Amino acid sequence: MKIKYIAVLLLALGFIACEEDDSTTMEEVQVELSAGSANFSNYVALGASFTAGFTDGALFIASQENSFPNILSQQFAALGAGELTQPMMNDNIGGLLLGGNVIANPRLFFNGAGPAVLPAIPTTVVSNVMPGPYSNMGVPGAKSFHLLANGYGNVGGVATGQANPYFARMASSSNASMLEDALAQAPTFFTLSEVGGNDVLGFATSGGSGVDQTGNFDPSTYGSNDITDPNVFAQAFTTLVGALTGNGAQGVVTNVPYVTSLPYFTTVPFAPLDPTNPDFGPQIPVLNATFAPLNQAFAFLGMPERSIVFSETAASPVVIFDETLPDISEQLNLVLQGGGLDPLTAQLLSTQFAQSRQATAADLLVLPSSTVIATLNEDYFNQLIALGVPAATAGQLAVNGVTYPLEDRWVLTASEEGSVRVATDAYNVTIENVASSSGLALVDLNGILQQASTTGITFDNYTMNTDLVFGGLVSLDGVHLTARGYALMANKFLEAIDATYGSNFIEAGQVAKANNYPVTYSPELQ
Amino acid sequence: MKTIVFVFCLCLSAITFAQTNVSGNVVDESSTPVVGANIVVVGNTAGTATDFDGNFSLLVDMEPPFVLQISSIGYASQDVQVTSNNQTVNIVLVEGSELDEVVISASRTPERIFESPVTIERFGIKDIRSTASVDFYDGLENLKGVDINTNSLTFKSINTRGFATFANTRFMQLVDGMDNSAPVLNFPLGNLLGMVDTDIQSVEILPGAASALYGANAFNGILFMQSKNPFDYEGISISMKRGITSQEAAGDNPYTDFGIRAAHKFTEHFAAKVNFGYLSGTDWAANNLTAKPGTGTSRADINYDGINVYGDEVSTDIKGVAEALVGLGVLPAGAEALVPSVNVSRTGYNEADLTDYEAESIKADWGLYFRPWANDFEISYVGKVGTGSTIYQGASRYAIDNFFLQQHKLEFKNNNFFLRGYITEDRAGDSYNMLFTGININRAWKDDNTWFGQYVGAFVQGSLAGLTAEEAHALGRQTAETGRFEPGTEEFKSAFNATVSDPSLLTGSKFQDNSKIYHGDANYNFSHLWDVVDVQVGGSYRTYSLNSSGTIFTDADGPINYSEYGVYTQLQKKFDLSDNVDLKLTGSVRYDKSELFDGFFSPRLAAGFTINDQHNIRASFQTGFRNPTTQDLYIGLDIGRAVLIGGAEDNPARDIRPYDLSPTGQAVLGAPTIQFDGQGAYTNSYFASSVQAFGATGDASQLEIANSSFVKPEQVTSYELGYRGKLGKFIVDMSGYYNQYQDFLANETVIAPFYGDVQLTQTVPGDPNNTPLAIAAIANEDYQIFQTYTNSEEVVNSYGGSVGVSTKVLGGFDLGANYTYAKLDFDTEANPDFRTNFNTPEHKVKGSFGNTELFKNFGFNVAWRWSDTYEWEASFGDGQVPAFHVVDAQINYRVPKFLKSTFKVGATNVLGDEYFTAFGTGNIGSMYYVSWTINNL
Repeated sequence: MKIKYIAVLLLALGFIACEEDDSTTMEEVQVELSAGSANFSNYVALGASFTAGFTDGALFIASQENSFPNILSQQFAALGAGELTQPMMNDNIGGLLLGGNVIANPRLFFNGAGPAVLPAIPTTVVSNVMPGPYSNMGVPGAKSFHLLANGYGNVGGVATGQANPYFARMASSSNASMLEDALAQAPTFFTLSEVGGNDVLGFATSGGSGVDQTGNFDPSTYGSNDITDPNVFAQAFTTLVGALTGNGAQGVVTNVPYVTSLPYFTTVPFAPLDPTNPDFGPQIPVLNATFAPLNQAFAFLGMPERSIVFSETAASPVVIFDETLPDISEQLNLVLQGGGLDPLTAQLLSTQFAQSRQATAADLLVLPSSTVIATLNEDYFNQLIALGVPAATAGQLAVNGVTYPLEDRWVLTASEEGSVRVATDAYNVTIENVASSSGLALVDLNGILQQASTTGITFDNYTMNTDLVFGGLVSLDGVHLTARGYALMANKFLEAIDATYGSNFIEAGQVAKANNYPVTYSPELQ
Repeated sequence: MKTIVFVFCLCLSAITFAQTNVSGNVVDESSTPVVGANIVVVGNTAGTATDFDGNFSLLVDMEPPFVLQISSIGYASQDVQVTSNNQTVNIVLVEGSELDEVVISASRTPERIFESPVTIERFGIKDIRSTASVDFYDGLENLKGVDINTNSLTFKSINTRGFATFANTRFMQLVDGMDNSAPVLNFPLGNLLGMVDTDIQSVEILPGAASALYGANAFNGILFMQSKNPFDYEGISISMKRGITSQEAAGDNPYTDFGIRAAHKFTEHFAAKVNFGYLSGTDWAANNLTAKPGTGTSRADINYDGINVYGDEVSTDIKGVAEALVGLGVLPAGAEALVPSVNVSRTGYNEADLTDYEAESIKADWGLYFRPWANDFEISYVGKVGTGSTIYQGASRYAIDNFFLQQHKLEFKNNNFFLRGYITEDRAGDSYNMLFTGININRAWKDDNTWFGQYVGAFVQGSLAGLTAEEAHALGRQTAETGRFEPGTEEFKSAFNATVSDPSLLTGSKFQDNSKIYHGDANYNFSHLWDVVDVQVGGSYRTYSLNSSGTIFTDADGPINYSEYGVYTQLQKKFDLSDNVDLKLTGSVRYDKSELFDGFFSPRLAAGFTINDQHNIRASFQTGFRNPTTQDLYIGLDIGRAVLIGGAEDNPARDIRPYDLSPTGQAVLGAPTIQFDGQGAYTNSYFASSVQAFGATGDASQLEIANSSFVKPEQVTSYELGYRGKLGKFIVDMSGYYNQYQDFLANETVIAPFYGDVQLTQTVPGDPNNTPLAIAAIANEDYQIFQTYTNSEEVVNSYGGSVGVSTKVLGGFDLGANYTYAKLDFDTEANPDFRTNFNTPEHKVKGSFGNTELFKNFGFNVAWRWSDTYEWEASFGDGQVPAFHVVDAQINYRVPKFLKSTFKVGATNVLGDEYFTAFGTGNIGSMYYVSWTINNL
C-alpha cells in the first residue's frame, strides 16, 4: 500500500473535487426543485417485500424507516407532499408471532463471521390488526395475483397459507384485497414495485423444487414455490395498473430482475470441496476408490458425464440430484452386480446415484446449502441403518453433496434457472408494454441488478456490488436490499420520475445520500 | 591582526596623502548645539559627526579647496568651502526637510535625497527616536512603498514593489556592507541577527532593482543599515524596553528588549566598539484551525486539514487502503465495497503543542578600527554573531530555535575606496519543521499504514455492526487513534524530542545546516582625481559552500561549492543647463558571471533635473537579476509528496534514492528495486497535472512531456519616473514604476517514470498490445513525483507608485501621509498554474502626526496605516488577507541632564483589532511598552 500523504495527485483531485462541490452547492442554490407535471400530494406504494422495507431476512421498525417508499416520500416532502404512513412493526427484532408461535424468524445480524439469526423472540403479533389504510402497502411475499386477491389479509387464513400475515396486520377487513385498500386512498401518485418478483423467487430459492406453471392459467392451483404463468401475471399486472391509473393517478413501475444474480444464488460455489480441508482431503483416495466401480458402470452405460471424481489438487464440485436426468437405477444395478458387487451394495448405489451428477458452473447452489454440504444426511443415514447397513458404511454413504447427492431444494440447476429467466423475460415484456402504454415511469431494476452484479454500481463514494455481507447493496439474507441499497433504489425512482414527469430531483440534489444509510443494524438494536 | 596591519602598511607606505585638518561647531538657529550632525566631504566618503557639544574635527586626505556638506535630520544641509588647512568652520543650520538628508546607497556616494537619481527612503536617528513602533525595524513600515510581512514577533520580512513571501529572496539586506542573509535560506531573518537600535546611524531603502551597482539579488530592493563608527560616536549608550505583547490566542506576555553599545576612541589611530542586544518575548501564536480549502470545516470532517494543525496533511483514499488490506488478506475479499472512495486525514497536532512560541534574539557584534595615519584610511575588523528563536513560514512553518549566524569582516577603506571581505556562516541549531514534527510524531506512535489499516478495519466492522457512515468513520478514527501520544505526556515529549533531532523528513523534522558564504567587495571612486566625470569602478566575488550533510542539499558526499563574480562602473555628471536648472546624469553597468550561468550585463541610466533647487524630476531605466537561490540550485529533499530537486545542471544526478518496484517493474528491469536519481525529472518526465488528466480519462494523449529546463537567473527591467520638491509648505516625493519580469523562477511538479521513455517509443517487451513502457510504469506506480526548479516562460508585469507628502501644521506639528499603489499586470486566469506570489495590497495608506517638542523635551507621535485586502499566495497555503487599520502611538520625554535619557511610553496596534499580513501566521496583537534610552539623544 502506498500512502501518498499530501500526494500531489490527491491534492489536485481534492481541489477539483472541491470545485465540483462548490458548483454543486451553487446548483443547489440556483436550481429550484420542481415537480414537473407530477402530483405527489397523495403517494401510495404498492408492492411486496422491497416496498415494505424488508431487509436482513425480516421486517422491523428501522428497516421500515429506511424503506424506499419512505425515502422517496422524504424527497417528495420537499414539494409539500404529506408523510408516508407505514404499518410499523412492534420492534427492531423482526419476525412474527401467531398464536404464540414464531411464524417468521427475527432478523439476521452479522456476528463477525457471517449472518446469524438475532437471538430474540419476536413481539409483533399478527392478530393485533392495525387497520389502515397505510400509504405503504408493501406486503412481503405477495405475488402478482395476490395483490388482487380478496381475503389475502384474513388473519384466519394465515395459518393455512391462504393469507399473508403482513397484509393481515393492516388489511382494512378480512376480505379486503391489497388493490382495494390502495385504491381506497385515492392516490395521486403510486409506485408499483417488484411485482412479479415473488412469482419466480419462491421457485428459485427452493432450488426449483416447485413447478413451472407456465400454461396453467389458474393461480388457485399454484403452490407457493411455483412459477406463475406469464399470462396470469400479465392479467394481474394490467388490472393493477388499470385500476391505479383509472382515476388519473401517475406512477412508477419496475421490471423484474433476474433474481439468480442475487447473492442467495451466487455465494455458495458449485465446487466447494477443498482438498486442503483436513476433514475432506485425506478421504479423497478412499472416496475415489469407492466411486471407481460406479464410474466404470457409468462408462459402460455410455454416461461417463455422470462420473464422480474428486480432485486432490483443486476444489471439486458437489454431487447433486438432477431430476431432469433419466432414472437409470435398474441398468445401473445390473451393471454393478455384473461387475461383481454384492446385490445389497449394488442396489443401494444404483438407487442413490440413479439421477446424479457432479455440479457444473451453470448450477446455482442456494445460500442455505452452505450449512448442509458435507454434513451427514440423517434421514438417509437412518434409512440405511433400517436396511441393515452397518453404521460406519451408512455414515460414509450419507454425506450431503459428497456421497449423497444434494437434494433438489439446494440446487437451482441450469434448466431450472432457465425457467426463471424465461418467465422473468415474459413478465418484463408485459411490464414495459403496460408502462409505456399507460405513460408511467419505469425503473429498470433488472438492468440495475445486472450492473451491480457485474461491474458494480456507484452510489456517491461507494461502489456497491452483489456480494453477500460486503457488497453493500444486498442485505444479509441474500435477496433483499440494505438500507443503502434501498436509498440507491429510491434515487433510481427519482431519476425515472424526472425523466417521465419533468421533475428535477436529481438536478436539484433532492436525493438520498449513501452515507445516511447503513448496510445492516446492530444486534443491540431491538 | 598586527601582521595584517603591518603588511598593509608596507604596501601603502609608498603612497603619500595630502592631509587637511578641519574642525568646527554646528548649532541651530537658537544656538543650541546640533548633536550628531553629519559632516562629509563632497564627492568623497570621508566624514564625521558632531559630538554632544556640536563640535567636530575631520582629517581629509585632500588639499583645499574642497566642500564640506553639513547635514542633520530636520535641517537643510549646508555646503561650506574649505580653503585652508586647520580651518575652523562654524555653521548655523536652519530647519529643513527630509529631502535634505544625505544618502549614500543610491549612487554609492553621498548625495542629498533631493538629488538622488532613483527613489530612496531614509530612516535616521531622529526617526528611530520618534517612531511609534516598538523598534526601528518595525518603524520602517511607515515609509512609503515599504511593506513588512510579519512572520512572527521577531521575524519581519521587508519588501518593496511586490512579489514577496517570507522567503524573500528578491530583497537584499546589507549591514555595513555585509549581506546578512543566511546561506541556507538566502534571505535575512529580519533583524533577528541584525543590529541593535543604539548602534544605528541610518537606514536607507532603495526600492526597485539595483543590480547595476549591487549585483545579483538587488532585485526588488535593498535595505542598507549603517552603524555608527566608534571614531565618530563614542561612549556608552543603552536602550531598555519592557512591555507586554497582548494577543487573544497567546494572552498577555512580557516582552523585554535590551541593547547596549559601548564605543571608545583610544587614540586617533584606534577605536573599538561592542554591541549587545537581547530580546525576549512570546511569539504571536498561530491557532487558525480553519480547514484548508476542500477539507471540510473542522476535525469532525474526515479529511480535515487545519491551517495551523500539523500531521493532518497525511491523507489517503480509504477505498485504496481497503483494497490493499483485501489483497493482503487482512480484510475479507469483497469488503472494499463497504468502504467509500473518500480521502481521510490523520489527526494532527495543533501548532501550539509543537512550539513554546518563545521569541528570543541575542546578538552581539564588535569592531576594531585602525586609522594608521589618523586620517580617512581605516582598517576595520567587525565580527557579528546572532542567535535566536523565531518562527519562519516557508512551505511549512518552522520553529527556528537557536539558529546561529556569524559574520566576520575585514575592511580597508578611505574616502575613495573600500576593499572588504567577509564570511557568513549559519548553523540551523535546534530548528525544526513543525509540519513534519506533527507528521512524524504521529508516525512514531503508529505508522501511516497501520493507522489507515486500523481505520478502515474498524470502519468495515462498524458498518457491519450497523453503524451509519458517519458513525463508522468516527469508530475508525477512534480505533486508529488508540495509542496516540497526547501533548503534555512524557511519551509525547520523548517522541517530540526524537523527531526534532532527526534530520530525515521521512522520520524526523530537524532542520540541519552549516553552510557558508565567502564574499569580497571592492570599489574605487575616481572623483577626487578627475573632475570631468565622477567615475566609480568596483567588483565583487562570492563563493557558496553548502553543507547540510545531505539533509537539504545534495551534499551527502561533502559540501557543494560554487562561485560568482561581478564588476561594475558608474559615471555621474552634473550639468548646469541654466542658472536655474541642473541636470545630473548617472550611468552604470555591471557584468556578473556565475560559474553556473552565462554572464549578464545590467545597465542603469538615470537623469535628474533640478529646478530652482526646489523641484527635482528624475527618470531611470534599470535592470536587475536574481540568481537562483542555493535551494533552487542544489536542494534534494524528500518531503513525502514529492522530492524537491534543484535545477543546477550537476544536481539531479546526485540525488539517488532506492525504490521498490511493482511486479511489472521487476519484470521489465529484472530487479526487485531500483536506484533512481533526479535526472529523470529534467530529462524524462511528464507534468503531474497531465498524468492526473490521463488517470481520469485513460487518454494517453493527455500526457504532456515536462522535461523541466535547468534553472537560470530571473530578470527584471524597471522604468521609473519621480518627482521631489517643495511646494509651499509641503514636501512632496512621488514616483511611479513599471516592472517587467522575465524567466520568473518557478517550480514544476513532474512525474518521472522509472522505466520507459516519455516519448512512448519503448513498449513493454512481449506485450501484444504494445503498451508503452512509460505508461506501464505510471499504471504500476513505478514513478516518483518531483518538484523541479526552473524558469517560467511567462512574462509578468507590475506597476505602481507612491506619493508622500509632509508638512508642518499648527506651528511645529509634523504631519505626513503617503500612499502606495501596487498592481500586478498578469492574466492569472489564462495561466491558472502560474503563481506569481505578488502578495501585495493594491492600496496602502499611511499617515503620521507628531511633535518632537510639544513642550520642552516632550514629544509624541501617532502613526496610522491602512492596507487594502489582498490575496496571499505562498507554498504554505493561499488565502485572503483582509484589509486592516493599525495605529501605533508613543509619547517621549527627554532628560538631557540625567544620563542624556529619553523615556518613551508606546503602544502598537492600539485599536486592538488583531490582523495578519500573511495567510497562516499568528494574528498580530498589540504591544505596550516603556523604554529608557541612555545617551542616544
